[in-house]
Formats: sequence, structure tokens, C-alpha cells
Amino acid sequence: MDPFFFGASTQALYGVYHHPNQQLTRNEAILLCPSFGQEYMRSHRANRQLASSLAKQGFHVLRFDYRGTGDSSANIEDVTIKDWLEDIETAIEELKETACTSIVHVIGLRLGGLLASTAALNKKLKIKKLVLWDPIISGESYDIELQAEIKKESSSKCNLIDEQGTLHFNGFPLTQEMRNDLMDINLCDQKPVARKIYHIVSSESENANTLKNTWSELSAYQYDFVKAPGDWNHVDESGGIMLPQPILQAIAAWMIK
Amino acid sequence: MREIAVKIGHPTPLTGIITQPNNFDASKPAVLILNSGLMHHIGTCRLSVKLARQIADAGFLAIRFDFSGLGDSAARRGTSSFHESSLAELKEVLDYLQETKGITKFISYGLCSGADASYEISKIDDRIVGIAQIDAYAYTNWKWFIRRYIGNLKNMSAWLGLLERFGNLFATKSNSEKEFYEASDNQREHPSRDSVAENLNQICKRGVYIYNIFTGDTIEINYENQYREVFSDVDFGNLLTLEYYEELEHIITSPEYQKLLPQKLCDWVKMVSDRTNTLVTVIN
Repeated sequence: MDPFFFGASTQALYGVYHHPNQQLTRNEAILLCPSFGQEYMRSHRANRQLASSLAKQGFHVLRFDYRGTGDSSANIEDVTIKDWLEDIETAIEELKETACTSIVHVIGLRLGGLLASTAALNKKLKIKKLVLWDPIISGESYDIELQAEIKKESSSKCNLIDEQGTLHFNGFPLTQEMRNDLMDINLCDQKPVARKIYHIVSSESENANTLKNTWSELSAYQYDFVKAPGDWNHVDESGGIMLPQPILQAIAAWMIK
Repeated sequence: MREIAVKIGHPTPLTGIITQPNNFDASKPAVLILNSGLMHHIGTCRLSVKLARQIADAGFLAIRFDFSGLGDSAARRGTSSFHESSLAELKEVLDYLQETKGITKFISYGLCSGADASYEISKIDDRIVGIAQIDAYAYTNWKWFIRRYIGNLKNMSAWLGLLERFGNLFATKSNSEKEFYEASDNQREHPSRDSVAENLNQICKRGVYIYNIFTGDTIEINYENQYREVFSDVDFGNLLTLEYYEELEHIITSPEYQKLLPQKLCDWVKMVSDRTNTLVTVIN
């Protein structure tokens, strides 16, 4: 694994590049788009394990952090969703150069799935395979979900929407501007251009079925339900993390088909 | 300020991020920011990143890194316990910064297991001039008992908690059986109060500054001066700074405290740096 900073120096992004297994090197690269907030914390190990597993299969793999998150530059209060979409493009370009390939696939978890699919609409990026893992299907549904979580503890000083409209949830804020920008994004309104799409869910839900029904007509689309822990919002006292092995294995298997 | 991703050690390096101030001064102490539990080096709610950058803006080098097997550091082979390996790896990081940057004084900061590691390294490495701990080892005393159970007889939750803890003594302990869920298998084991007191006396004799912040989730603490009173046999002198925030939770999700704590830690680092530099000047 090689940790490094890339992109413009004033907007540096942090990434970790996983070298491909030399004996199986494919001329293909995979970008992992992370989720956000405590979900990001709880899935960090899973993403690392997925990246390692894919690298063993011969892929060049890059994990990275959006601006204002992880180790990347900036504070979350100063970034926009447009910035995050740009960051995905920057990461893709970086990966293409590092791997010396033009064949790039993208895997996105939860909010990362929503963003990855949106970024992949840019035909110039030529995303070949798109994996959406428990994706948020729309900014609106995400906002509703987070607000429902906040309402569970109405007197909390940590989970709340402040006077500026910033939604604070489990220690991570989403500004009003970001929330507004996300409202404009809905997977069901998209016509994805990736050649193959893998929509994998750990539990069946109304949102997942809505997307499945909308995209099922696409020949590129494949839906899969693989039962695994998927309570990404839960924060427990021992700092536990989730490693849904069945999902990781299913994604890796699909990528090498 | 600039940030550099580094790989420390061979053959399986540790991943770290150095946050270096513009006017880097190797005579000032550097701050090591340690993992908490299984969380990677950005820390709870990205607190370690905010802290590192604020510390660098104040003129001090900071490094946040992952112990082997955590975050972006690969696992290392060997049969050492986490306690043994984390100390060895901490030493590696200290050596690395000393060799590459010429730094000889360090402050170690950590929350929970990171606090424990900071305490442990301060026992064995003279380069540590200060430790900042959130939710360090804590011990109760009679005042604690009175405040918790007798001071407010209407505190049903406290009584219920006591009953639950009593019941748990007889309950069969079992590990989490949830599939595909991982909790730290390095469960915190508090050393005896007496052994901690002995070690605190030793590190205080060396002049190590100690900053202890306790959150409301440390149930063994329920008033600010408790730590000092529990360790009344330790000669802290003016080395100990103690704070207790009852309303603050362990993983610091509060927006207010996410701003407050880095500032407080930063101010404390400056104080330690000034006092340790003053001491060197006087000796010289």
C-alpha cells in the first residue's frame, strides 16, 4: 500500500494505492469511493480489505478521501458536493496515470455510490464497470434518513440541525449547501453509461427495490442481494467496525468476471 | 503548513501523516497522535486531523499514524501482544522523527487505548516530555461512591446501573457473536491503582507534563479533582492539568467540543514547550 497526496496542492487529496499482484496484472484500475461520516469510519477496514483483495486479483486500486474528509485537505464546512464530484474525477485521472491504463472501474459505498454513479455519467471518464454497494439512491432519501435518526434523540446536543441548516449526525456535519446539492441527485433519474453495473445490497429495502425496478431494463444492470450486516449508521460504545465478508467476496467475484 | 504521507519501518512499514509547520523548529516538541481502538489515524470524528493541523499552525510538528494492522498500516508478522508491539512501534516512530527531523522531545496524545499507549511510552522513553490523555485509566474513591449512589437517591439510573454491574459479575461473559463485526480484541485492562501511582511518580520525577481530560462516559470519574485525589500519593507538582466534562461523550461527536478540545490541547502543548524550553535555557 502506498499512501500519498495528489491533486492540486491547495486542494490535496489523500489516497492509498494498492499495487496489483505482479503475477496476475490486469490492465485495469479500480477506484473506491467511500461513504461519509461514521459510516466511513465503520467501513474503512472493509474498504481496505476490498482493495487488497482486488489488488491480489491483479487490479490497480486506489482508495481516497474527498476534500473535507479523512486526510484530504479542507474543512467539511467549506466544501460542496460539486467539489466531491470533481475529486472523484481527479482521483480517476490520477489512477489512470499511476496505473498507465485507460480502463477504470468505480466502486461506491452508500453516499459514495450515489456520487460514483453521478460522476460516471461524465462520458469522458469512460467508466467501464460501476459497483453500487448499498447505495443511497437519492439525496432526498438520505436527508430523510438522517433526519429520522436525529429525531430518535430529540434532546441531543450532538445530533441536530443547527440554525444555519447544517445537519450534525454522529460527529459529522453536512452543511445546508451540501444538503441542497444532494437534493438534486437521484439515481432513478440517471441513465448510467457504464458498460456494466452491479447493484449489491446487504438488505432489501423499498429504496433498493425502487432503483432495481427503474434500472432493470438496462442490459448492463445486475442486482444482487447478499445478506450481511449493513447497519452503517450505528455507533456502538466499543468502536466496532463492520466487515461484511459476503459482500466483499461478491464484489471481488463480480469484478473478475 | 504542509502534510506528507510517510512509511516508517521495514519490511512492513507503518503509515503516517506528518503535518509540518511552515517555520519548523526541531527544538520544539513534536506531537504524536495515536490510534483509538480500531479507528484509523484520522481519529474519532476526524479529530486527529483537526488537532494535527491546529498544532502545526501553532508551530509544532504533528504525526498521526496507524499501528500495524490498523488503518492504512499492514499487519506485521510476530507473536507480540498489542501492548508489546504498540510500544515497539511507538519507539520506531520516535526514532524515525529523531533521525529524519532532529526532534528530541515528544508529546504523546491519545484517546482511550491511545491514552493508555501514551502513558505506557512515557514510562520507558525519556524523550516523552508530555502526555495528553482523553479517558485515561481511572479509579473510583469513596467520594465517587457517595456522589453516584447516595448524593442523589432519586438517581434511579445509577442504582439500576449498579444492579446491572452486580448482575454482570455472575453473568457468563461472551464475545460478540455478530457475524462480520469486529471489535477490538485488545480489551482495556486497568492496571492496579498502586502500580499506576508508582509509575506516575517516576514520570513526574522526570518532569513529564500530564494533561488528563475525562468525559462523562468514563463512569469511574464523576468530579473534576477525583483523579488528583485518587492519586494523592503522587507528587504531581505543577505537572498535572485535569479537566472533566460530564456532558461530553467518549467519541466526541459534539460539534462544540470538536472545536474546543483541539484548541485546549494546542494551548497545553504550547505551555509544555515553553516550560521545557525554559528549563533547557536555565540549565544551559
